[in-house]
Amino acid sequence: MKQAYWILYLLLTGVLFFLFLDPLSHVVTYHEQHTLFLFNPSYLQAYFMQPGMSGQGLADFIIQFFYLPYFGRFLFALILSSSLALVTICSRKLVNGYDYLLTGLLPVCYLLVRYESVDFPVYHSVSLLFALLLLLPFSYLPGKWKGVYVMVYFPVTIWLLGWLYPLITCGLISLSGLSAYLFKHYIRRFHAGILLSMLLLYTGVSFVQFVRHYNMRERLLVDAEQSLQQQDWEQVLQIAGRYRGNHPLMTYFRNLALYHSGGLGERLFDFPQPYGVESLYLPWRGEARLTLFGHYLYEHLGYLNEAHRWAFESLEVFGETAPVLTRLIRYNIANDRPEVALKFIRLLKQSLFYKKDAMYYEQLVTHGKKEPLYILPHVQDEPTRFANILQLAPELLFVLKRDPANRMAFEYLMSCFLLTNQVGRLVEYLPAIHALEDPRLPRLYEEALCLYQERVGEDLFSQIGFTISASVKKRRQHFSTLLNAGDHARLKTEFGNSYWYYVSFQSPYGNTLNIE
Amino acid sequence: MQNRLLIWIYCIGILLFPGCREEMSPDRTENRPAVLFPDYQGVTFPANIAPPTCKILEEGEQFFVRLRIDDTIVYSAKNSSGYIRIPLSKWKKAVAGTQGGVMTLDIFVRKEKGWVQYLPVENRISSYSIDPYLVYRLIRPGYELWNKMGIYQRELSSFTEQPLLENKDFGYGCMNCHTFCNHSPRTMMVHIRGEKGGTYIKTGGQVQRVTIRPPAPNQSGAYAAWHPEGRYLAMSSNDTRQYFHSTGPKAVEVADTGSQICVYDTQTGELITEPEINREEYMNTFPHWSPDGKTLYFCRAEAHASTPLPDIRYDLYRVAFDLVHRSFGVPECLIPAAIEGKSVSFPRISPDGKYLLVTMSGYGTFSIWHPESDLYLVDLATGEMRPLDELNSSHTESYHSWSSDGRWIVFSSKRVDGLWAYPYIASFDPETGIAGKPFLLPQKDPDFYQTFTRSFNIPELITEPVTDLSLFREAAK
Repeated sequence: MKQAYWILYLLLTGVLFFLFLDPLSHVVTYHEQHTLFLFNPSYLQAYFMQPGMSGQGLADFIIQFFYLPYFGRFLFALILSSSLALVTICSRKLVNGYDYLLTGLLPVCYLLVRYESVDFPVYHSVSLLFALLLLLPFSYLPGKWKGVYVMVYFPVTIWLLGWLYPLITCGLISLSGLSAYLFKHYIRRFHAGILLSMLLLYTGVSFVQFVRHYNMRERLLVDAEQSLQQQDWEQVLQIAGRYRGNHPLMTYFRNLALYHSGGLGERLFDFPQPYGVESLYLPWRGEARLTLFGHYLYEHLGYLNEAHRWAFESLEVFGETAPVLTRLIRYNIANDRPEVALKFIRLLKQSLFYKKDAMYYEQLVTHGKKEPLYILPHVQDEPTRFANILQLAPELLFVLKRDPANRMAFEYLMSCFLLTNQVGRLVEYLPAIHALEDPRLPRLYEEALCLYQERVGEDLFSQIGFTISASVKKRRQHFSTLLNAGDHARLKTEFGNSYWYYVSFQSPYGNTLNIE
Repeated sequence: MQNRLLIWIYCIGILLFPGCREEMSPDRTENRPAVLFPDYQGVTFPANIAPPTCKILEEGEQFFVRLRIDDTIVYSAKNSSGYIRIPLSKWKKAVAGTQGGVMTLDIFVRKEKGWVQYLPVENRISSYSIDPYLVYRLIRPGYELWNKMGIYQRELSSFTEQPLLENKDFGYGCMNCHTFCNHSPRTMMVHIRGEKGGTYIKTGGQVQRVTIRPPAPNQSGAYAAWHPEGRYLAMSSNDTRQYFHSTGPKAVEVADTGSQICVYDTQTGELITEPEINREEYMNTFPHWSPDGKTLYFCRAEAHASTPLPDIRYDLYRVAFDLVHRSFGVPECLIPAAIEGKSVSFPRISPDGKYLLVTMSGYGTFSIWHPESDLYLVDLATGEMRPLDELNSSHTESYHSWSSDGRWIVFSSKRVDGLWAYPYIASFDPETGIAGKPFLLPQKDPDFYQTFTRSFNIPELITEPVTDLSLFREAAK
């Protein structure tokens, strides 16, 4: 029977490991990216010298090992599964019997389902494990010392972890011990059957709850961001394709990937753009969580002051985490603020797994070098310009004016005008395409020109210096035919990814074009 | 047997107490002092300051330091880290024996070719103490969002820092502008914004949470100053906006689009305003009382909401205040900074009424974001104004205040890295009007300022600790 429990424990650890390797992989990644354990006195003091905070400190210490893909996931699995082992050992030692109700599985199953959400803190499982570990000696002590141990255990554990975890621990041990006692003295038959039944019950209920609460959308968002960071644009698009429904963040990631894979001018409307121009960026509304993501667009544009603002806001919200510190280091090096960069570098150096990265950046600063991170040039004597943090188009215009060869600024600007039905402005700024390396007109711009031509007439259109290809004109005629016939099904099938379809049926700004 | 025992005791003694007895013979000398961070060289320490822990920023394998008063060695230590951490008890003993005199730090660094002795570091220990507590807000030099912040009290003779008010107790609202009457926490106020927002005023052992309606819409209470008698609170109400530089190393600009001055009567709850002072074409801010309470100093800009930011410059004004009739006189311009292309902020008069300390920047009201901001001293008797070159650096200096006896100045400076504002203390001689070299507030960890990512905002010296903190939490309910 003892072997059965060990086999069960090992199996459980294996299952959990598998879950953290795949379905819950994003949870481990998320926690690792949102926590940074620093080896410095004030950090350690903040956790280990404050009542009730040691659990969080320990959790942060353990989370740093999530940096190692396999070891980290195994460690997390071990932390969760160990509740079963420890509860069983304690009750076995206390009562000299076996808990066939598998009380130790209760916290494991509960925590597993809760950990499907990235917001559920790791310190709950770490604190519980720590409380159980501290209680373990109690079950080995002879009778008279048990009382003494309890008198020490509670104040110490409450000071370290808060009152909740020792309470839960004692509750679990008591239940498990009671169960073992009952099976030892009163229920002497069908032990194997009961054990198997409980196992099936736990498995069944956990499976159902797991599937019910599994947040695929959350997973896809985390995975999309990871792929974005790795600049795997096709992967981002693939993940975005699997996302059911709309989410501003996913739309934002997808459009970034679309640009980088060369598709913004051709394929913007291959995907829904339900937020209009806000599909391209994250408008600043002071939303704490979004501070982690707004910098991407500006960093890719070279508009590093704005990227830095987002990164600094996320520092305020999420504290000193590795991704945030790394961004701040890079932006400040690029923006000629080496002393500021060094402050963040010193912090990052105090971590275990990012120390190497920090030393790399330190070398850059020491030798006066920079990363190949593009930054919009600063013109010293020009009048001060302040960022428009609410709207994207003015910023894109500024970037383009400062750097006419900035393709991303140009394509995003055109996309802004397309999404907001501002065909007139698109035509006004379209000549900027000539400053780019590849001045060919993408399909969607030609489609917009079609609409412009229809509104202003041939004479005025001929003055703008652009022409529309015959194929686009032909398609426009076909679109008009179908539109007049009211054949929405064919319109969607054949023209669903066209600008004409967007303006006619999908634009959140209505179907009126702004030609001025 | 006895001899063997004595030899053992001697050897153990040598092993256990090497630092106290070690003599140092350098192989060569360096003709300059060692570089220290923080820079505690040539400064004047108050008689009651905590030990100045620092780090020797010289390349070396081992470091040896010796603290002495004349020829008496007070402390010595050897290590490989370069940290100088003088124990509190040894420091207090050393200071007690040195008041008014000089303390010398000998520094030796072992390099490849032997020990190098640097020029001794000499610091003066003043015979004057500084107010025992420093109160400041710790906040990241961020933009719009805030998370955890608080107002803290540091005991200057040790490294003990105690939270006074943390925003987790007030619904995570913003808290700012802690102001004390005559350097005493018995009469003080602080603004708290958010769910449990209001102006928290402590007088007569009680804390009231009041909502002071500013005279104009879109404005909220900001800078305040207690009348020396402790009844009236001069306040500015400001409509403050933030702007973010699109390019370049400057990050943020903050400006008011409107601001007015009023006086709040803490006994009656009445708001005293003066239309002649708060005319539409002016923005008034940074009120500050003279020590005798008869004059109110403030900063004024002739500007409005649409004035371009680089054109907004503040002059320093003062106006007589009649305590009996609770009325103002005619404002008089004391420093016409705008004509000189500068802007004044934070007028602070020394407790003896002889000097006025201000911050001058190129434009605007939020000098903490201007690298060109410097401290200026005005002799109120002669009207002469000069930059306090002995305190200023190439980075921001601002948020200055006096000690209760006028012999110390504390201010925030961004000279360490250009972004974070840290508190500096400098001695001041009221007879000559000259300040000593400023030094960074000592911390227990010499590397503290290398990694601390919060700014010390509005450092204020107080004569006794703030107590009865529960009163503030009670008032918030």
